[in-house]
Amino acid sequence: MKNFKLATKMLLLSIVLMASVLVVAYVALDRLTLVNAQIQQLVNSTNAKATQAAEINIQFLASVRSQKNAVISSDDQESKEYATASEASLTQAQELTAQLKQLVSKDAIAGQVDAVDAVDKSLNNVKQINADVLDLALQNTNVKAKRLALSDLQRQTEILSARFSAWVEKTATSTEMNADRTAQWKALYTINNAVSAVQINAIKHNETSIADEMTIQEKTLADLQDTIQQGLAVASGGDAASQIEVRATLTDMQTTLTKVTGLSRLDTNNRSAAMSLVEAKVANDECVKQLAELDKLLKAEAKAGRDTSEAVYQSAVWWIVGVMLAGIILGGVIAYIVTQSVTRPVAEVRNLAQSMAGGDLRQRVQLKQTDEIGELSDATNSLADSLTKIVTEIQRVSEGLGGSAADLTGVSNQLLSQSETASLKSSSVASASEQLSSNISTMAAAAEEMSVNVASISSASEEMSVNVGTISSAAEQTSVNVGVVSNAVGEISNSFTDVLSDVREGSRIAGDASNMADSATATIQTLSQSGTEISKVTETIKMIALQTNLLALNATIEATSAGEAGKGFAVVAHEIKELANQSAKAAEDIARKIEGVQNDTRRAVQVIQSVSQIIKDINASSNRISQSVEKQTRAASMISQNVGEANRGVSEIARSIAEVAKAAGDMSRNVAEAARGATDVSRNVNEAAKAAGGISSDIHQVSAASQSTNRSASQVHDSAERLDQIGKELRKLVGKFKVRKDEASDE
Amino acid sequence: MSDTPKLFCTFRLEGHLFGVDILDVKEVTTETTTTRIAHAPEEVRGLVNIRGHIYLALDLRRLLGMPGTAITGETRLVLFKPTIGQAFGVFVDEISEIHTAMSDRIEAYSATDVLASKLRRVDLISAVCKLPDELLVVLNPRRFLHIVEERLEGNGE
Repeated sequence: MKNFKLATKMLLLSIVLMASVLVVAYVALDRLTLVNAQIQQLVNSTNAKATQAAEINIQFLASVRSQKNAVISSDDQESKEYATASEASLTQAQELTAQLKQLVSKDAIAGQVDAVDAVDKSLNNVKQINADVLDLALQNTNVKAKRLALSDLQRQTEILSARFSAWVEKTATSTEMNADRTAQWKALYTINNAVSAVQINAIKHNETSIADEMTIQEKTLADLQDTIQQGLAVASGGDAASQIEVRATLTDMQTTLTKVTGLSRLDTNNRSAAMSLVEAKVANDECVKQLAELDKLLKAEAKAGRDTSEAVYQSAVWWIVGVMLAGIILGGVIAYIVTQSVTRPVAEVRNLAQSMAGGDLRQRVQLKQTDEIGELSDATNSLADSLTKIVTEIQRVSEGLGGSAADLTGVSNQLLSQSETASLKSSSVASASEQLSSNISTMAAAAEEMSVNVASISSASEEMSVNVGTISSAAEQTSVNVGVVSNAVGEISNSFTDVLSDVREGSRIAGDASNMADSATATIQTLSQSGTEISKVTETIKMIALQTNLLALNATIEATSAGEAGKGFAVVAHEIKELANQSAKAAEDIARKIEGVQNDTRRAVQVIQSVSQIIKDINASSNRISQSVEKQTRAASMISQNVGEANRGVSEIARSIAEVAKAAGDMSRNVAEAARGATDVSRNVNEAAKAAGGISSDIHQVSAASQSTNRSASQVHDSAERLDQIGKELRKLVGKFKVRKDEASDE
Repeated sequence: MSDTPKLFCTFRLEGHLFGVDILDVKEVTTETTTTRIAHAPEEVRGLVNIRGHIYLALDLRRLLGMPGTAITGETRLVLFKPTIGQAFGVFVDEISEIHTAMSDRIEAYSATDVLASKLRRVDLISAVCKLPDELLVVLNPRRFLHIVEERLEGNGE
């Protein structure tokens, strides 16, 4: 699943959703078909049956109504029409029942067939009775009788009444009152009542259906006729003509009554009404009951059908809802899985990108899927890898840069300390040479003094030489002179000692200066060596800066290729490039300064070598002075010896005069030599003084060169520190990227 | 014309400033050790191994009709992306900076330019960019391999 392409996943999801929709639709259709079948059943069968039953009922009731109308109707024609209608309705009802029976037998629902059979049977029964009732009703005898009673009998009664009224008026015209007339009135009254009663009784006869009562009425009618016959003669008051007319009317009445009673005896109307009310009612009631039974069954079926429909509808609703729920859950689950399979890896890739943006390059996405997201994660991983590679490279280079800077700092520190040592030493050389200079000056003064003394010795010895011939005259003078000589010689001896010690001091100082100059030379050569080492380090730094520059360039190329996403990194790459350029500049600065240091160093070495040479010269001069002075000292000792001899043996002067003369000559020679030596000393001393002055100025140059070296060394040191700073910055910058797995995450 | 500045990876040949679009460049390396290919034209310096991948190294001076020169400490190999041509790069005398130029400073190249006389193949140049103190000749690296191909075809005929 997770290795499918996104489109495949979406297709799968769509297929599942469509499948569930199809299943829902299928189930809904299936259930709806069931409901539809049920409703069709209800409409086609139950409803048809109910309609049929209702129709039967209507036809039956119409038949009953027509029957009643036929019975009630007094008109023959009308009765006939009603009867036909009744028959037709019943026949219709029977036909309908037959149809219903077919329907019912088709459905074969328990009880219904029996109920329809019962209805059919009762309908047959009703039809039979109905036929009888109608038969009777069609005869309409009571109505005919009544009509006769109301028409013929009425007319005859009216004729009779009119006659009787004439009789009454005739009687009333006669004013005489007698028994006959009273009897006549009485008879008139009686027959008039009888005539009135005849019609009433005839109608009563017609109205009753009971045979006994009919017989009573017939008898009453006969009595009434008799009463009229008997009262007639009296009532007429003797009017025979009118009696004949009355009798004829009475005969007519008799005929009419016979007809009426005959018809009344048939009593069809009443019988039919009775039948209609009793037997037909029973049959009708039975039929109505059967119909009600059938209706109840049909209603029960309808109710059952409705219940079934309701149940089917409910089950359909549950099925549809259930299948829909199942589809929704299935679709939801699959959608969730698909969404998860898309969003989870995307979130992981996003986390990776965020951590990369935050500088953490150690994270990787571990997705083992080959869809677009898998490709995206692989691409992101490889981006992180290449960034890690670049950053690691930069780190390595910056670490190398830092190491080189540290080396450079160490070397420059060494250089600084050595140049300080050189400076210190050149300073002490300067002070020693100053000391030397002052000693030599002292020595020069002593030499001058010595020279003066020697000159005075010379003059004294010359004087002695002049006066040696006149010793006798100048014996005392000699003693004095000898004393002077002795003093002078003592002074010379002292001076020579001074000179000797000064010269030795000078020699020692010169030796010191020479040693120091050698030491300074050695220091300066170490300095030169350090400079060469620094040159090597700066070369390395330049190389590293070059590589860093190239890396930064490639990083910029990568970042530009990455487009918008690489902009941040492009800024970092630019910073790194700037730092690399600064490193290169600082390294060049250092190289230039080292060049200056080395120039200064070479100059200092030259100067120190010339100082060494001068010191050697001074040493040689001092040695020569030393030799001269020693020689003079020996001469002075000899003089002193000679003077002692002179003092001891004045008596031996004569004998020794030649010796003295010789000694004086020697002395003169020696003094001249001494003078020459003194001059040499003086010259050497001056030379030494000059050389010392040269040394002093050279030493000052050395000192200046050392100072300059020292300054350069300080600058180198500063540059080295700045380089170190740059290296640290670079490391910090690169340190923002976490590339190794073992790095602590809070770093 | 969009206002996005174009970035050029620039380098020098005989002291002149040339450049290619930075998006065409894959990498710039210091690797200059080549293995010569027998019978290859003079434009082809040989094969170079960059971290296990073999690239064809061309001499851009020769491609531009300049006299050849020895490899120095400043010599760099500019490698191009696979979209430009199959695994190849060119040697340049010295790598310069990444120059950024707005589009209004870039002009399509016309043959009357001063540098034209020095360049044997005019169609190598795609544009000229006016930098504040000099001209940057923008090259079309897609033509580089074509020239070698043309040369080989010329030899074959």
